[in-house]
Amino acid sequence: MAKIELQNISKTYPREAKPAVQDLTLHIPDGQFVVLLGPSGCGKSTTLRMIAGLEEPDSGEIKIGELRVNGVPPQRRDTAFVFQNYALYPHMTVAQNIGFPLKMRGLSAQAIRQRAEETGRVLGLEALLDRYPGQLSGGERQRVALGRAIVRDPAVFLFDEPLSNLDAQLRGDMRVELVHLQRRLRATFVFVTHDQVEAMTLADVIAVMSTGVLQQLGTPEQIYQQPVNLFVAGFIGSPRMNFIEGNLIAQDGMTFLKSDLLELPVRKCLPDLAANPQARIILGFRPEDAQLTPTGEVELKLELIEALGSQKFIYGRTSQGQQLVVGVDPKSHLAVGDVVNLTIPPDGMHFFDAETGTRLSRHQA
Amino acid sequence: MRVSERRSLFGQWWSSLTLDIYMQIAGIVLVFPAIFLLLALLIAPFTFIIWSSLIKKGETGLGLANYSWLLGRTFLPSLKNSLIIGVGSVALEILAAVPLALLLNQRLYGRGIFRALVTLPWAVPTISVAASFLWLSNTNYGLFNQIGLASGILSLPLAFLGDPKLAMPAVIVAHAWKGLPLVFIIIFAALQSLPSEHLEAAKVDGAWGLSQLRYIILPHLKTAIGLAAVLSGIYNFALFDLTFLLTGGGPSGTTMTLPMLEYNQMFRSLDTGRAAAVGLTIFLVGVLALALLFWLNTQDRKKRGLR
Amino acid sequence: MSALTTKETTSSTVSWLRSPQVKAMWLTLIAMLAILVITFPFVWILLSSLRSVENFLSLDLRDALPRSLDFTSYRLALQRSDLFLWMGNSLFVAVLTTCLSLLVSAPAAFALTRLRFRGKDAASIILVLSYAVPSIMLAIPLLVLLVKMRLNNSFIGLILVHATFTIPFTSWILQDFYRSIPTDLEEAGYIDGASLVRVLWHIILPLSIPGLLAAGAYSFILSWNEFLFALILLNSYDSFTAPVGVHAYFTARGADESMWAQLMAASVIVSLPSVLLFAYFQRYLIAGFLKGAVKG
Repeated sequence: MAKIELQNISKTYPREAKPAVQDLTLHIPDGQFVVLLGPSGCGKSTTLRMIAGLEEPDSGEIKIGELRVNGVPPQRRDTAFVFQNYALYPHMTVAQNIGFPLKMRGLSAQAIRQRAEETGRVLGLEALLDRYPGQLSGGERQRVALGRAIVRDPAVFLFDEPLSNLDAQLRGDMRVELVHLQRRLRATFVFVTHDQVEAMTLADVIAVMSTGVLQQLGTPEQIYQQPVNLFVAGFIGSPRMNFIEGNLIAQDGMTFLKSDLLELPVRKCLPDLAANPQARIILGFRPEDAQLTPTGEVELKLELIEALGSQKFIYGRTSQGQQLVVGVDPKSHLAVGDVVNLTIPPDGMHFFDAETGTRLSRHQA
Repeated sequence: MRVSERRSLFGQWWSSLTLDIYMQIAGIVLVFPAIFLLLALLIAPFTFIIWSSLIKKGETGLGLANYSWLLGRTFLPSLKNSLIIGVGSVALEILAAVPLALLLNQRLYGRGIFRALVTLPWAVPTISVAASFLWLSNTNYGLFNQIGLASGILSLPLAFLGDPKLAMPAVIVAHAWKGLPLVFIIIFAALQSLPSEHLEAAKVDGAWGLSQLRYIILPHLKTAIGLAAVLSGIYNFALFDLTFLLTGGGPSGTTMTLPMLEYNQMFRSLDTGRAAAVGLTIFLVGVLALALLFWLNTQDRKKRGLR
Repeated sequence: MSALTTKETTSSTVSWLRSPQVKAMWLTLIAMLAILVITFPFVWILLSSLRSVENFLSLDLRDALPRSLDFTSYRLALQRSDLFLWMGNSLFVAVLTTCLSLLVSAPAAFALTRLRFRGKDAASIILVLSYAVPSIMLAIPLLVLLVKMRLNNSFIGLILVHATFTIPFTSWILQDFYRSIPTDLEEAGYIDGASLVRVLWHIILPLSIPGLLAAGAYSFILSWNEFLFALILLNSYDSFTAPVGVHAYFTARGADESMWAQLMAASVIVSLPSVLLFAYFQRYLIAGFLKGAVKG
């Protein structure tokens, strides 16, 4: 087992103007389940491929364990990689696929078969060992790909959106299995996805990336509760966090957020910010943090109601036209056209600098 | 145990090679045999042909005598004949290939078989193509003459390949037959790449039948037709064996093409220098045509705002 | 009541006539006619080769089609000429040319589609250009050079020369084929601990067998059919390839009945290997073009 250290990694693909990964520094401790999360094109897959050795960084240093692996070809990096399309060898049986890494390490045919069978048993593939990948279902292929990864006990496991081709039910099951697998092996897992639910459920640590730059590194709770900038705040959570841009104004010992569309008392203490009425800031709050109370400061006229069963979200507009989304009790009886009052508790407020997008808070993560 | 196993994976001498250097070496090694063989078999003849084109028969010094001979009365008619064959056969091919491609792009039974049969002439050896055309157009016993006489269209049998007026058209048809598959495939492929939504949208906009053909399909095929025309034109322009087998350049030189002229200079007149000069001209005409195609394509792309 | 039924039948007849199936049948018929015209030269030698030799030069149109299958022409062609010998020579040349060109173009095509290295663009350009050089221009210098190397009138010389146009062609087809193999598979191979050589051997080679067969078939056809170089480089009767042998045999004889009949039979025999191989592998060639080798 091994830790992974990326130090100031940059990578620009030939014939492309923008760097795929920019000055990325990321330390992944041994035995952690780390998820690289971000929208497509954010550099997460490139990062993973650089750890595996499928791409070389233009600058920076990669270490697996104590060894600097820059320039070391993938076959000598001792990583396992599970591809999005599984990349099973179509001309080999399941047993041969699982045994291939061992064959490349010069094990005897008998030992290979034995370990392939063991691995197959662990993953519930005993009955399929002599089938070809073309004869398997998506979920079975996924297991074979996992089998090929775990059979040789690698230093780190790398996953490139391996669940994205499965249907929703199977994806849920595989998530649980992956977590169990990681606990059992106590190996370092690096998992790339654009699916925040996947990231939240799997990860010990999430690294959020955008446009080749690491935005935030933290536990799922930290990422959700203390997003360090507007990108992370907006990317994590569904429906998206509400954002209101305005100035902070101190009046009668209270602080107000004043925007074109809204005036909102802010009970959270931010004296240094309120001192500068020129500073544009953005207030964010999550739909599920706002509360409906008859005394709430904000009046909202409902335009759309989204009932998801366990959750219910209402979309509406203030009288000045500010659009907001709020999570409500799924059993509440509300209809389009109703007017509700809502209040935003101080704990649920996030402040960001409108210019830089960074979080403004005394207890920054 | 595990750790030492892992160390040994890194411990080999080539672990100091970076991936890029590894790829560089592998790339060169894998490409080398093919490129070496081609270069050896192309560069040496190329150098040799340029050199020998500068030496006049019976002399040793270098000079341009063979090229000034090109301006004389032997060469220019052959150039004209080759151009006629190149252009004429390509025109026939495109006139046949475009309607055929449109037809075989429709919903019909056995489309795959038809497609295979259209491309079949590509695989027929030139010797058999020649034999077939010689037999079909035979003055006394050929099918064309027999049908012509029996139906009363002809009063006397025609010597298609022996008549100075008819030989050239006959040779052009033979070239077109042999070249049709390539032109057909290129055009058919382009037609298949036309997204069916375009046609649907055009139908909604009221473009049916001929106007659909004129405003949607033909503009889409323009590049492919140009490419097919130039490729097939160069090929037929430089093709030796079909003319050699059908007419040998006759009757009275009416189908004397540049490749035939080169062959005769080499093996009849035993004049390597002049043959080399002719050979280089054939090559240069081809290069010019390719350059023209490339230039037209770039202009077209610029006009459409593509890079 | 009955009037109503008639009306219904009429309208259904009309709509049946306009139905896509009927349209497809009409188009199929037109296509059949067009194909008949296009394939006619080949069909005609096939039909003529099956006519009886006795009335081969009959001026009666009714004799133009064979009345029964008569293989006399084939027997004569094979007995009187050395067609078997020449076909053997052709086979030898075409098979070795194909092996040579697959052997060098398979790795080259792989490197050109999959590896990043300096000189890659130059290599692709050389491949394209070498296919564009006209045979007739190469023929003379190659002859002179091969004479100097004492490789004229030898199959080795001819095989090398044929390779100049089969290698670019097979590389083109194989490059197209390799592009259809997902890169994931190779990358998985590297990750699983295989070196480049072992990835080539255990993963790429087994997967490229269909591509190698198709490219090989085309290389075989090109070499088998080739006339010009074989005519110039080979000058003894025993070493002729089939096309050159047929040419030599029939130009040396007068135009009597059995000559024409034999020529037709010989033409069919010489064409058969190429045509059969092509019939089996043609979809790969068409697919290669369709996959966007030429985009508008």
